[in-house]
Amino acid sequence: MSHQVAVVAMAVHTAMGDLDTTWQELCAGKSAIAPLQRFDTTNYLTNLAALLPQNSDVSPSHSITLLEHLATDLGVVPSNTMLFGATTKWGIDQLERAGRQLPYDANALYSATLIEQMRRLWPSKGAGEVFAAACASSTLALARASATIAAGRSSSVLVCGVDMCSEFVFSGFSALQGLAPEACRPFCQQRRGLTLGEGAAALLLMDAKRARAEGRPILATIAGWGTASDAHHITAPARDGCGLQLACRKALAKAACDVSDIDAIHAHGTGTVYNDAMEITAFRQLFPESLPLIFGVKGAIGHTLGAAGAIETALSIQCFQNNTLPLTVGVETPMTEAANAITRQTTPFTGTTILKTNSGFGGINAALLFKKSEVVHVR
Amino acid sequence: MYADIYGIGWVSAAGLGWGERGKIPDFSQLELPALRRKDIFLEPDLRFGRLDPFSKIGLSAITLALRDAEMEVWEQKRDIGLIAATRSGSLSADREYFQTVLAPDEPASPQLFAYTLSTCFLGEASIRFGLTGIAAAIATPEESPLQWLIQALEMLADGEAAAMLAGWCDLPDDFSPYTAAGALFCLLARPGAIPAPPRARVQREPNGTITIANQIITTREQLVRAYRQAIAPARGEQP
Repeated sequence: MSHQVAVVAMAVHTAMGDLDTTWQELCAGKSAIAPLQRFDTTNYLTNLAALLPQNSDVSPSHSITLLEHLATDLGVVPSNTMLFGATTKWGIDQLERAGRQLPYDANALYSATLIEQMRRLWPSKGAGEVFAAACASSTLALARASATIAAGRSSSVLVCGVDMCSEFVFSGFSALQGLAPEACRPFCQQRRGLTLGEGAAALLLMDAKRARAEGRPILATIAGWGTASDAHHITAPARDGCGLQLACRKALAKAACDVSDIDAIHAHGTGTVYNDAMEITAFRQLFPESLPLIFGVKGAIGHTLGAAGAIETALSIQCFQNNTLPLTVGVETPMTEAANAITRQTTPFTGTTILKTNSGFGGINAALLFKKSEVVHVR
Repeated sequence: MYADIYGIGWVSAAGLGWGERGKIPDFSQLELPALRRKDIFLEPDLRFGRLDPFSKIGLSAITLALRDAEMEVWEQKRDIGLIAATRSGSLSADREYFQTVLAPDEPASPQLFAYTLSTCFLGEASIRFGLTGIAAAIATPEESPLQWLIQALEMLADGEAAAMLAGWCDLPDDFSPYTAAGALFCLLARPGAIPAPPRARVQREPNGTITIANQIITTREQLVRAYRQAIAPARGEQP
């Protein structure tokens, strides 16, 4: 018998601040994208990103600092909690320091040390594993955590997604011509690329039965999940969105839902020409009658890479908590194919089901389906 | 929890191997062979030559596993997932790429940046062999040589995909002492899930022990030995 998966606690830290602040700023249509000072951007396509203040000391790595922001907000986890981490370039600032012949923390170069840091901040005897799936890393980690609980292999899993904005990554996306010269415009006809961000999120997933027995709030349930690959191109998405469609269909099937049950989509929405076109193509195939409301947050907090799925999951759950969908910051003229679907203002929302999608290099796609908790919890 | 093994392939200091071909791998030796396209592919392949060393050994082991399973050739995309355990991931490609960032008067290399994720070779494999399932790299703080196998068994039990190409891939790096290098991949599936003859069965016992044909395995090399011993009687051979 499948165990129901509940989200019982969450913490977020983005360039806008903690979860509540990020939510309020997002709904107010603000953006944390600004000229960055962290490194010289003279040779790159833009000087814009959504960054948190960075400690210039060697230790701890900025990635560790991002995690530490979460620990106070989330609180303690049960001692038998499994730890799932998700990241694309954990500790990359230390590799940069090594390359510049500066003192660096060699241990922080290895992604497995993300679990060591999680264990330090949230002491637990549970097993730990780090998942990497490009920009779908934490979405995939949430999917595996949900599967682990549903199968009864664990009743408590902490998922933590984290990534920082480094010159390493910034220069790479610039070299690939992927960065927008101005702030990104997800799902806008004038979109010209992505804007990088950074951040971290931690979500405690629990068997709903255990959560109720322990009197824990159920913020939402993760009813469905799915992952799939395009098998198309190493950096560009398949134009027909075949992998994303497959991931979404798997999530719907897992949740025993029909497309008509989906009340809103929190899309990946990077602001690149190809990603956004691919997503809308995939959604139009999935929802042939009419698209549900679609929103994205990367115009406000940037593309947080491996942390995106976890941060955006927490913000999706905020939609349930606040009966509101945020506007999609950065859209001026929505794509014709989705003109009536993209949120252009903060919108009242009484829906009970949200589909979350993320996609990444290598053609990786992941989808999660959230359901509103039957009980209202006041944060 | 169990699955059938349909094929195994590897790259180690002892050379290449798949199924009953090649020497038993020795992943404790850190000097890996320099792979050339013709070591793996009969046809000219420009992309292989441009891959970074980490991606080359990972993709090679995946190719050899599919070859052992007689599933290298395909026409329709297949519901096969990819899972790879790695400690250092793309660290060697990362160092090479970052040197182009630091080089004065030279632009950063987009070709090198495209391989600075530990999952890039999984993307290559999915494109080459039409694999549409999950694709992810994993890392654990404990030195657990078969964590990828456990993860694959769980994914198959969860219905994540009809089959999984699961394995491990690592290169030595200069940042810390290293104990293993190479790549090993297995094609695993639930019985009857794919149209190919199963070769051996791997089981995870309730106490966590992993066995192939009642032999307990705790290392990657033991896995290959046990697999060969399991398939030898079917061919009337000595392992």
